[in-house]
Amino acid sequence: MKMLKDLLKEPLAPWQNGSGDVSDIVLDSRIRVSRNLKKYVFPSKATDEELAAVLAEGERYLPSLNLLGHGTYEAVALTDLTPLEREVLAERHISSATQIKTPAQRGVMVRQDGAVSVLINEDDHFCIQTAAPGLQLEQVWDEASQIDDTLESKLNFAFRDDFGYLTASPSLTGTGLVAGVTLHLPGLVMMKRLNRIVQVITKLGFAICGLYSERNEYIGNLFQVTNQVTLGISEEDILKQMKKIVGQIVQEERNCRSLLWTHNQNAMKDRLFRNYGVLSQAWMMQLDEAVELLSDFRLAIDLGVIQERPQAYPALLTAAGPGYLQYQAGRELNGEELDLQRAQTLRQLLRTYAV
Amino acid sequence: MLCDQCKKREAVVHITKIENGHRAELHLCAECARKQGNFPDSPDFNIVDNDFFRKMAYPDYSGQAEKEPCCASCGMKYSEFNRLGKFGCPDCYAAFGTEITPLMRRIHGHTKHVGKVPNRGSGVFRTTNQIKRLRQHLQKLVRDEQYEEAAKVRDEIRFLERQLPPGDRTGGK
Repeated sequence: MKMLKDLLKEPLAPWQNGSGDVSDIVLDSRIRVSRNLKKYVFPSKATDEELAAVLAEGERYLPSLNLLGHGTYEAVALTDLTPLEREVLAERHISSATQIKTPAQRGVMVRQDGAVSVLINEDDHFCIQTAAPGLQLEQVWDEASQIDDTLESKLNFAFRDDFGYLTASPSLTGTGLVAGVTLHLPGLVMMKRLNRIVQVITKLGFAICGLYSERNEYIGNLFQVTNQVTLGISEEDILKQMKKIVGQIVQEERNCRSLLWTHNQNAMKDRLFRNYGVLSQAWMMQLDEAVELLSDFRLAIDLGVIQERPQAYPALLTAAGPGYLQYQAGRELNGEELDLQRAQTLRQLLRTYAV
Repeated sequence: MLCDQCKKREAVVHITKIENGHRAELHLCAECARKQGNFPDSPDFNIVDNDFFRKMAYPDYSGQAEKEPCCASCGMKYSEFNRLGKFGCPDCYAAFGTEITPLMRRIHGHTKHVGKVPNRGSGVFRTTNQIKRLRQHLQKLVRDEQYEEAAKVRDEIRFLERQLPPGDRTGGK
């Protein structure tokens, strides 16, 4: 438990080190691999005893995950955590909103750097989650696949020759793999060129959706591209296609940024500096405002308008989250307290990450 | 515009029917439409249909199945699966048999898994999976032009294939 608590205290997990390809536009690459045990019914239908048995099966093989040599794992039962701890766990993608809804007989096995977690009894018996900074789809898949192999050498996963890995949701049947790439696309949004991309991506069996949304509007220019098809296509092909698509989007984003920069340099600089001022001076701040201001903050760093560490961006994004703020405060905060705490935390962190 | 049927109340439901290339229009008031069963408020008209998945698989489907399939392992009924959009256990895939293949085609555009296969299992199943895995590995080696290693893998595949009963020799292709 101590390891997990240390991990949650910091706004950046050790894996979020800013490396990886095109890390100025791609924030991170993530993989989720769903697996189920042959002998057991899926979690939504299972009794408490069955869920407990699956949880025990998973935790029994934690030592073999340690043997992979990429870091130490810790098993945590969700019921051993406070509601605030569970919330921050979901917010930091170590658990998920779905999993923390019913904490009984649910658990996670987390690697010390926070890049890997195995969710037990979410929608499926096991969900292997891996993450890496920047565009590193092959690496995150290799990592997830290794963990899959390790668990599979001890456990009998539900698999059929025709349908592949059997999952609770038919939308995951086959590879059970969902890959996601998080992109920061202020240029495409400002130039209103995102719609065309959305249409093309959908036709190719992928989806793009906003990471933060407020009243049906995407905020903060953060988007996630995910694959929608898991059957009839191999893992390698899914990732290869995805890499191509992301490469294309990155190129378009760069074009937009350079157009905006060459034609509106002064207007852009004015806006970026003003918003930086608000971010570093505000006394109270709501989540949507913070997310919007942080997008401009990151763009300002990328364009060289302000001198800050790029790493400040993912750190401040995490720190703006209500789960993180309440976890740090050690208690539930009401709306006004939350806004005060958010502004104060962001001001402090800006100093911490200052060059 | 007045209702075509009672000719008293204002028509609020407008229906265009095209039958055998012949176009017919019908304008009804709320009351007459409800009597006809064409009114959105009537209980059997539901946008988020309970038979969502079945309709995805069989666009022509309407109404209840004659005898509903039910999974013997977890007790999930097909209608329940339809409503939740989630299977109850791995055996549901077999229990709902013929319904699943068209559903998979609708969702994924494919019905056959081509990705990773587990290395585990027993007997024939295990061997066919091993062969599948090795074939995937072989393809990768050939792509990477590692022909020496590829030859070894090819021999290994042949060795495993000889262990399969004659009927299963194509397994894993």
